[in-house]
Amino acid sequence: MSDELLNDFGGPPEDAADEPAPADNLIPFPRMRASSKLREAWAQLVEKRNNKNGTHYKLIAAADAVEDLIRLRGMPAFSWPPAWPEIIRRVRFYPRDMVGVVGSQGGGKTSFALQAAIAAAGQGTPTVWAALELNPPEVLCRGIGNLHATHASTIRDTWPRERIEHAAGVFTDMFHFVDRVKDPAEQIAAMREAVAVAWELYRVPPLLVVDHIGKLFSNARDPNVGATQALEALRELTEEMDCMTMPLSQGSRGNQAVLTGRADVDAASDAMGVAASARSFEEDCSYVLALVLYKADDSIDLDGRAMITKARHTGLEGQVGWRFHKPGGVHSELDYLPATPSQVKADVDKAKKDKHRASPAPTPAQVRMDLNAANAGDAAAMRRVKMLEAVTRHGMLGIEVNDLRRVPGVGRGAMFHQSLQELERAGSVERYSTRVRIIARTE
Amino acid sequence: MSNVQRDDVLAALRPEDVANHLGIKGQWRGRWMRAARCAETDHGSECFALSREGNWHCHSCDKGGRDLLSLIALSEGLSTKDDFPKVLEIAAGIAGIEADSGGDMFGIGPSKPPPRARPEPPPLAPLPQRIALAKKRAAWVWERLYADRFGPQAYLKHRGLDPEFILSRETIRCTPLQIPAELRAQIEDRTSGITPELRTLWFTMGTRKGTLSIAIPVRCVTDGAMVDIRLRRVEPLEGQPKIIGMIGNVTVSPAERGKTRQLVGCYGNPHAIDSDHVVVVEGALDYLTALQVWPNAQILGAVEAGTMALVAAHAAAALAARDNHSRLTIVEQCDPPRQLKDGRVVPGAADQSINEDPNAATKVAVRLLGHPRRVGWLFCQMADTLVDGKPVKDLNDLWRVGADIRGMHRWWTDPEIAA
Repeated sequence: MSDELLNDFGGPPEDAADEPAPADNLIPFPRMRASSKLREAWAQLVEKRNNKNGTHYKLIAAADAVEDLIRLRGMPAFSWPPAWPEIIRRVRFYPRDMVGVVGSQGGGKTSFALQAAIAAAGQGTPTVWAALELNPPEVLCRGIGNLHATHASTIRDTWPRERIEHAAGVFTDMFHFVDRVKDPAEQIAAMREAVAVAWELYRVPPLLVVDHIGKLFSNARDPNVGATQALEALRELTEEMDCMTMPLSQGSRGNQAVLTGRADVDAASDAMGVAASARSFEEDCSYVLALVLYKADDSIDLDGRAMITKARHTGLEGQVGWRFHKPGGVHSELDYLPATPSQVKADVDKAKKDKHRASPAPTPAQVRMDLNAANAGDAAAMRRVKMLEAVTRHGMLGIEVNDLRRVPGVGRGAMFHQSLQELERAGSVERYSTRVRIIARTE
Repeated sequence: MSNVQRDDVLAALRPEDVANHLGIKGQWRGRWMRAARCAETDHGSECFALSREGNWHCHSCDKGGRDLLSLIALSEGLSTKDDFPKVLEIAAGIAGIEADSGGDMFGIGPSKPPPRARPEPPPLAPLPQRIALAKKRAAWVWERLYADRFGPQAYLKHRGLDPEFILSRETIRCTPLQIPAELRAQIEDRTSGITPELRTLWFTMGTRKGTLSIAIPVRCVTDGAMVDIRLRRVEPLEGQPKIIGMIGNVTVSPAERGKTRQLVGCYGNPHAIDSDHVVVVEGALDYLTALQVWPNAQILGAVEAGTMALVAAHAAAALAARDNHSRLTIVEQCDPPRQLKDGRVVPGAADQSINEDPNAATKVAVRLLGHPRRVGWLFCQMADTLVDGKPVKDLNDLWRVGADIRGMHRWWTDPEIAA
């Protein structure tokens, strides 16, 4: 380098500082490429054997799937209702995936799928609904009931026609029924046609709901064989049509106790196999979500858990606290795990056996409330921990309250405000303007 | 060809055929098609608009017309004044009209001229790249706008709003534009038909302060950075655009097969939705008006009617994730029905923006919030009430006539709506 190219300190001239580095400073590292010779040889061999055997196998190489991957990646994932943050986090539902929903009879499967479908319609995903059990008017009443938190029977019996049409107008553009036919093969063909029409009109991957899958093979001589065939056909449809499929399944009789909370499971994956014809169901679905509801006579709200027993893409199997509001079948997430009936029973029994108790043994309802309050307290403590971690990470400038809301695990609505207020009162954080920052203590 | 009548050609000429002939490929949304290619060149964003009635405008070239003949003339490098017979001949060819009888003895019409050969437009950069570029451009432009409050104050006052209050809630700047000589002459000509109020406004802003438009930021839904700056012109005449966006702006991702349209930006603070009441309106002026009508609510404004449902969906999703009680109000404009050249009466522009669905925004809000009495609705219509000689059609009109706007608010479940 000549002298006139140096600055006062022996470096490059200052006016050249903004220029990009010369190409010879870069390490000439070539992009990784497949061997073209091996590729050609493989293709020739496959073609030769296909010609010889009269087959049409493709036998693609690993990198040949990249094109398909990029195309699928461009498609939107399923939009769960925004009020279900844990389900959103744990169940990433992509086109070509099946999410199986298992529940006991009257366990809220249909209303769960309806609520999910209507919310997805709000984000642009159309639904085709294969109503194999309930007929379209019944599903319509349940859909409207879900939006209004009103019993479907009230809508059916008392609402005037204009009001029903007005309420149905919210989702009817994005919600269509598949005709019901007896033959399973024809039924699958009808679903395929409905998905194709939805694709052509809306140009986005539609949601296909099969309510419920057991009706597809109810006439089969061997239910296990029928289930395997039906689910394989459904999976084939899902993959070929690039749609998202949500088959609903009733639980097997033997596992009814798990789906009602009478039998405890340590982990959600222990609940694997609760579905009827469980093996094929769980093989074909990318996610399996078991709705466990603790049924109680004459109760309007049922507590329970949503168990993600299989999570192929996220690996986030686990349990989410759940509440089912019977009028309208409205599902909502809880931020704690409610006590199971077996836990309640164990505590009641323990109290009854206590010979030294000074007061009468608590009733199951009291025990349930106490256990739930304790669990809710633990959840609140965990929310404060998450909140404090997030605020600490952002240092002295703090974090916008609105951004803090979006941190996983800090709760929503009144719970969020309560946790934040508790941290403020404890002197851990302070609010200034629209931000929250940590209070550092040096003692 | 001389016996071909202009009106016959215009009646038979379809915008789709002209667009095909000129190699303009775009997406029809309602009655407008938007394309990145105009009659002359290609642009980086969908700045060319063609309506089903034949109106067209290229926001980048700032050229437009009210019939398809002028579009054909521009693309062929002809003048509608000097070369009108030639333009008419080309248009007749596109429309399939023959000079003499409209067809030969076998009833077969004339062959259409071959489409104009144009090279394929360059591929659009990926959306994240375009958004990043739009942010840089917007920041650059914003720094060069006047931070003077006088221009916005004069305009807001003219529209019946409280300038100080509005300016305390939103940042508005001015463009350093000079008033054109012909407009100045028009202002000074007291016989030109301009109302005294408008003349005063133009004169005050244009000649004394050197600005004829106010600039309102369009913020990104993810981080609140500006992605576009919309200018509300004070002086547009009949047929001219009132709102001008930044070149290369990105406010919504394009509709592609397999993907839903995603909102990129809107008026207000869409990145920080944190209020018990959010109001979604359409347009710059309604956005500013809503700031005053609902002082305790958070206001979001769609930059055009076509994105209103996306803004509503964005707000509803944020509110649904936030809590179980916050509310969303959709304010819908009521553009009067228009009569087309063929005699058909169609709804106004705002009403048929999304697949001719007047309730698209309300629907998505209800689907996402999913609870009665969380979604409110306000339709800007008052029978037998005129503002500036025209029927009331938007929120600002309602405000100016002193309507009880909050009283007009309806919940989606109210029985009278259902009936």
